[in-house]
Amino acid sequence: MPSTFQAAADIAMEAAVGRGENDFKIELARNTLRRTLADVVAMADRSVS
Amino acid sequence: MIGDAVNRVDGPAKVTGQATYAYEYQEEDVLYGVVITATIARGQIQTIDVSDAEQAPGVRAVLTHQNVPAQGVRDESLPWAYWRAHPTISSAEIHHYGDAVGLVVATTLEQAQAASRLVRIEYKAAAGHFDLRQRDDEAYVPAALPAGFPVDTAVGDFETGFDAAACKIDQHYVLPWYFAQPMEPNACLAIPQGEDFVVYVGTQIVDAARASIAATLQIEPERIRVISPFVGGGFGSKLRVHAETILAVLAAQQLNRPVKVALTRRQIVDVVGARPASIQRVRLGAGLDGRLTALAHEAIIHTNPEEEFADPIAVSTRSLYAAPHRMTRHRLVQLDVLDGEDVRAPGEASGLLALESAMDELAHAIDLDPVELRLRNEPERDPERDVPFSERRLVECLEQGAARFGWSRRRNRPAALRDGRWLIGYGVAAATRVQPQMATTVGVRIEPDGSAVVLSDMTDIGTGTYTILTQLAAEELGLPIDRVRVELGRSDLPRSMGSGGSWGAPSSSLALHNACQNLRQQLARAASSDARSPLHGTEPTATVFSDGHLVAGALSEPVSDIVARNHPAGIEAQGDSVAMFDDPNYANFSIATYGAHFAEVRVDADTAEIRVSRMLGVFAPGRILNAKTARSQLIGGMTFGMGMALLEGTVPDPRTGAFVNTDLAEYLVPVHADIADIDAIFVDGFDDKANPLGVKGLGELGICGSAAAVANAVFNATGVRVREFPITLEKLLPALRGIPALNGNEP
Repeated sequence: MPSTFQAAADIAMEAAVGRGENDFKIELARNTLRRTLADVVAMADRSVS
Repeated sequence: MIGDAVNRVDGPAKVTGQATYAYEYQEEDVLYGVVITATIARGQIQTIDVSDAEQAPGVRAVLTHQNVPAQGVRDESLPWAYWRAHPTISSAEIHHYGDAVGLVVATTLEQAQAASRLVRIEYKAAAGHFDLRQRDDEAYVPAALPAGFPVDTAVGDFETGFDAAACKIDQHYVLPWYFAQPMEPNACLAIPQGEDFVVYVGTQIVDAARASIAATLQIEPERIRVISPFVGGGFGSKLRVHAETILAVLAAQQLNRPVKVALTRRQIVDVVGARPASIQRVRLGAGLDGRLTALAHEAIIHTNPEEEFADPIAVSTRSLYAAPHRMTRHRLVQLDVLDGEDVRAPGEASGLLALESAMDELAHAIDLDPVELRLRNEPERDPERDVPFSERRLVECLEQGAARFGWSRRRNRPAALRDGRWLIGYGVAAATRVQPQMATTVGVRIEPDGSAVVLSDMTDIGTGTYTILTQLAAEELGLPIDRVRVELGRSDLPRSMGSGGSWGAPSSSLALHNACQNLRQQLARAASSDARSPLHGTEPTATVFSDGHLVAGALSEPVSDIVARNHPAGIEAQGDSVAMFDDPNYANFSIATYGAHFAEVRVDADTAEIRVSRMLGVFAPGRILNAKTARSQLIGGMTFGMGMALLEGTVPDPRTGAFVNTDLAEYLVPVHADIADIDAIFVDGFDDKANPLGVKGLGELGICGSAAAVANAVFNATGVRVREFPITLEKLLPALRGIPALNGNEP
């Protein structure tokens, strides 16, 4: 079951098309987006507490 | 004194700008040359139109193959390529992209640069070959390896041994081209003096530079005076002269004016040779206890049709581990890519990355600690030559390093150690490097005031030659360091083999040691036979130098008094080092340097970003001459190894053969910030079989194996084995999918 952040990242990169040697950039963008969302939420949680 | 961490004696000159490098010498009426390079990889120049360039402001000459004088040809019978002629722009043939095709000489550098763009060249291009993997079926047996190493070796019956092994590793490792890229670019100032020349050039071997220029110009070497007291890094790229030097001298000859030529950073990639690309197959057969029964290392290596260079990639495999059945093999493939040359530990740097990666694969396959695997395969004698090791101490390096590094924290199972988003891995690799000792002569002179001067055409390429020779002379002559001066890098000084291949320090220090012995004997004899001396009648061989005095038991006399009385103009003696080829110890013992590398890396589980958080090298390079300069060289080499593993590699355009990453913005090398914690330590050593001083070369030992330690740490962190170097993000990231992401706080 993908996380919400993973799902968001998947949707954001849905239309991305790789050209073979740069395929990794799509995955990199997806992972970075997911991680950034998690980091931002974690920062928000810390500031609330 | 010997071994002390003395600061570099040339340091103040360097940091205050007093150390002058080849291109910085000022000369009246100097002209500036700019090299023009080919834009095809293979073919001929059809037409070359220099008319616009010749009419451009300030232009004094345009040299091309059409007007350059006849030059000497390479004498392949000379054992070292560095001494051979280096004919440049001598024909219309193009041998690789970036081949030098001309030189524009003008009053200013800017005028020469502008005019160089006005030269119009039409080529008849032929199809070139640039991909080693597409040509490996063309591989052939090289005529020779450098330094006389056998091309192939075999002991036992490898195939049978491998077939019978309980555990087998059979992998290919692909390495790209690597470049030297010293801070000081290849540069030359050539000054005509009548029929002769003074040549300021950054060179690793003064005598080779002089011989090569002379052979190219077809004149006697005595007509060329080479001056190279400071060299801003070599890394192999200045073992021989290249187009910049030959063209500067040819232009100076033609114009009868001083001419300066320096390669641009990008031209260094195109004109100066590279460490060749290679495909290496390593096969390891072992029992389930990890003991090797069969070991094979086969290398397919690029070479250029113009001049064969066989990087001795598998040589270190011949003595590193025990195995009854073994073989090594070198094969070459001709590509239309620039010449291969010695770059930063030729042979071992490439070979150990493959061998030590394969050893890590074996350790993983049988679930054995990779340090323990290496300990279990420690040979008692050199396994191919069947001679004893002179001084090895690899086991000590591995054990000390493991304890100091905290190796016990490592998990044998990959991807098992984690710090938040970071996957943490530990890697180990053995280091070894051949110990070449070369024929070198050093002179030492005592001045009338009792101070000493060391004299040799030996070079200091940033490695610390000035400092170690100062220390050694001070120790041998009983003088404080500030009473010793070292003069290097001029062809009028006693001839050496220069700096390179890690032979510089052992060869020059041994020669200096012998020179000091000879000098002491001369002075002792003079004093012994002089009725005015307190040492009159003493036995000359029983004297020592101490605190500026010649001492025989309780008797002594200031050296300056002996010199003033017997040699009022000063006294000089020379000493030689014996080349390894002429020293029976090198036939009767396996003489090399060893070490162990440990690396810790952190790999971002989401982005595959790799950070090297720690590196430790423990080395056994014999006696240390200067702990500070030795450590500096070793950590520099270790850093190079990190670059090999993760960053470095030049890529030819498959359409044109041009290297596409030709500057330091795109040819990546590590910087200080890339390594958080790096250290190199020594196990005390003294190799009395190498030479009476116990000294061996260590300049290149640091790079040997360090790339494999980093690569193995990446595997330990991630469970992903990348066998095509460098390990870059696009190769690692797709393979990280199986590793759980950091989802702890995600909804």
